[in-house]
Amino acid sequence: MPDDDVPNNLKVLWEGMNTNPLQISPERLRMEAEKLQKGLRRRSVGVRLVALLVIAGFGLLITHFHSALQRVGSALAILGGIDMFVTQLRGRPARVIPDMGQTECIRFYRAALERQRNFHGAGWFGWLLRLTLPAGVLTFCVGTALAAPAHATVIGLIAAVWLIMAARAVQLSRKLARMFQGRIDALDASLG
Amino acid sequence: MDETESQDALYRRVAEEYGAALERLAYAYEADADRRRDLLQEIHLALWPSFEKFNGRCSFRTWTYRVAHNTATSHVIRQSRKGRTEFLTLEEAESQAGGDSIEALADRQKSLARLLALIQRLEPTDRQLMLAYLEDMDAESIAEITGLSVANVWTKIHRIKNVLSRQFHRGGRDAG
Repeated sequence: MPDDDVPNNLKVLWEGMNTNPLQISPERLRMEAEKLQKGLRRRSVGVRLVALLVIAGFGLLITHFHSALQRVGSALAILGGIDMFVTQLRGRPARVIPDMGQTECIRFYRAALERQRNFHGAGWFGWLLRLTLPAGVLTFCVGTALAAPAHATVIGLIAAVWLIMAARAVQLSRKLARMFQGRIDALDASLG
Repeated sequence: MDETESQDALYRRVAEEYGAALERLAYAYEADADRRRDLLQEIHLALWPSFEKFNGRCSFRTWTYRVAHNTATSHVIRQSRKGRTEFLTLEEAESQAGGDSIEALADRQKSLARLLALIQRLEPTDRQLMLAYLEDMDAESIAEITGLSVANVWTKIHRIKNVLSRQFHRGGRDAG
């Protein structure tokens, strides 16, 4: 078999692959599309609700507690909650990408990579905003522990778990941002 | 025919004309059977609403493949966030030696499995090109789908042929 036949034989092999084509009824398509929309709406409402609860909860705490650390912590948590609410209002990245049929694949791929990179590797201001809520909760915990030494162990434990989780999330996020940036660089290099 | 009807008609057309090609495309993007079924369904679910915006500025086939590839690319990106994927560029694939002998091509299942294993490791853009090549598309159509220049498509196709020849031939020559 000459060399040039190999790709052609592979084409025949590829097109002869056993398939069982899928066809979904229009009714089910409509149902699934509605289900997807409902799911997205429910998730958005859920996140907004959590953000509002954070704002309201720490709003109450700021008036209830009088230690400076507790108040600063509550204020930071409220700011974090507002950021969470606004971010959700503006729409999470990479959730729905419109006009898939009008977007060439390379442009789509690059845009998707950029969205992921930006989401996981925000600039210093982005990180500052994102860390506001965990920092607020942590500060509030420290303030509460100082104000009520009897509960210091439990509060310290909660604060430590919170800190570890936040540090891990930041670490993972930065790793993903580097990975996506690497892919963007590789794509640019391959396109010349 | 109202808008909804034409959307349904276009979807039926895509399922009839490109159903098999879409399934092959799903194979190229996902090795796991369960996730592949989900991906194929996701592609179909992305195609149907997309036809609401289909305006005939590009061909029906280009539109279909763009939606399918873009949906599958999103899937691949989601998987890579979970650490399930590492990509290989065409250049890296080119430099890797083939392992099996030329007789392996006669064993259809083995060859197909090996071809899929190669495609599933490629960068999404190279994967799109490899798939389009295997689906016997011309350079102009590939350029329209991917957004690459025709010259770039030709260069890449040349490289794809090299990769395929090396992967499925070198072992035979070495064995001979």
